[in-house]
Amino acid sequence: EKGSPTVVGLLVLGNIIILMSGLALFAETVWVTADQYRVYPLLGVSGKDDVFAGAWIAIFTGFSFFVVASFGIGAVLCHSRGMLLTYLLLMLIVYVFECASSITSYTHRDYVVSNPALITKQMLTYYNAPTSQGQELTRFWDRVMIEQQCCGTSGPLDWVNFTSAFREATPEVVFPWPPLCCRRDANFNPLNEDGCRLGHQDYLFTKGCFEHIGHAIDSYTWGISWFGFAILMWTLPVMLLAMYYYTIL
Amino acid sequence: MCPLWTALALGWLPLSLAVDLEPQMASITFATNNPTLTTITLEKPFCMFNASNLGNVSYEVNLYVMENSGSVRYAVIKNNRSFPINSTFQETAGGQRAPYKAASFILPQCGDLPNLDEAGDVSKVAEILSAYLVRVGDNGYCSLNPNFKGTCNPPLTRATEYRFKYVLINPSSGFVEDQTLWSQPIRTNQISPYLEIDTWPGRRSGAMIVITSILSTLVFFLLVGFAAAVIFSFVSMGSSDLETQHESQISQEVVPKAQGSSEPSYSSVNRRQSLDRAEVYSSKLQD
Repeated sequence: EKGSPTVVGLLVLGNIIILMSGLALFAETVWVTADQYRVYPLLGVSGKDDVFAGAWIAIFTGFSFFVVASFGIGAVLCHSRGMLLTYLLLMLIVYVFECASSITSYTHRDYVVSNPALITKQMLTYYNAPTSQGQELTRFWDRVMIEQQCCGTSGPLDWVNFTSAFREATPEVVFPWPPLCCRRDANFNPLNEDGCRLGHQDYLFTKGCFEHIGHAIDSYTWGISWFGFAILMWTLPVMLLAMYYYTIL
Repeated sequence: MCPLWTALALGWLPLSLAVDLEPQMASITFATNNPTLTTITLEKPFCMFNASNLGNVSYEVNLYVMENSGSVRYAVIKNNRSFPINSTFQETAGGQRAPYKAASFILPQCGDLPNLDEAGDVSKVAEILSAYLVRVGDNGYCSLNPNFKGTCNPPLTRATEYRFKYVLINPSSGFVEDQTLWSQPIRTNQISPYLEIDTWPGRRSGAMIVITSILSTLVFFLLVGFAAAVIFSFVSMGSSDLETQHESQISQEVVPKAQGSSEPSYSSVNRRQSLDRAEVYSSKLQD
């Protein structure tokens, strides 16, 4: 009864799926670490950048899934106990790492985007602050506010209702919010500075940027955590089957 | 029927002398940040005063400001000769003791209201904003300048409630002609320190709990399964070793008879050969 063809067939099929989704995970997490939305400074400044740590781990595990699953197919087809044991050990290690990646990524996503408080506080602390972190975050917010046509985290009133590094430099009567919250014409001049300062909706971005930031971080986390989770859910029965196969070999 | 009509007529009588409207805050479309720390933006009194009284004369309107307190009911804005008072911000301690005159402008004609929809037009916005809005607390410099003449409108105090009143002045006589009610108290904004923002994420999201708990459980199962597999295979290997030992002993008993040799190494080689042969046979059988 050495390796019934059904078990071997299932193992090969399962491993083919694992190796393909491993490659997909690899590609996707490369996309995440490339940070197309360029939100890394936001996470880096407050040390909650482990969403990206999760992505780096998943690059490793995605590729490992590819390699180990290929090896596993060989092990199953060769009916070799030693190879199968190696496969199981390696797969177990990769499995644990992938779990870590998935959990880390989602936990830190919760810290950052479960409510806007952290990002608001960070924005108020660092925007316009004369430190290197301040410069980095100021650049980030300037870019996001212009590109996304938004202002503040939840809206322009974030700048008004709280003290901030920006408020220390610019009293409310001078400008209640950063001038980059003003709507601009094609040549990048404010449409109407008085209207913007007063807060007329045609001259000020009244939408907050949190939606955009939350969307970016959520899509990263979905890729890392949920896709990783799905792969792990699939890997579990395949590995259990491989263990069974190991015992009967 | 008759008493009802008289009651209604009598009820209207005092109201026709004074407007029963009050100053309103500007629409949020125009002023997202209203009230601010030191300013409150109001709508100008459009068509508030009884239009039938007004001819083509351009009436003047005074805006009076007062801190909200119990004495607002007794606050007077005209002297006993019916002239409007001219007290300033400094004289009334910023409206704490009595109303002060914060602004004075020509009454906008009810006929030519600014078209507020055109405020999106860059060329018209400045005009529309000045026609529509009056900002209390807009002038930060007049109170610092001792030589300042005219109506001073210095910044208000933060986190303080204010009430407002528009007063219509007859341009020819200079008498108070009409006035609105005191507005509802409007509170200037309060700024809170950003350090007090609580960044604790609060309840964990369901997804995080699902991922963490399920994955931990799966890892546990896998480890247990792996341990079981290894132990089971060792046990079965041990038992099969015993079986093969018995078999080899048997074959050893058989082999010396056939070949006359008693070397254990030789016998094990022999056994492997026989096993390999068995494999070949079985694969041939399968084919």
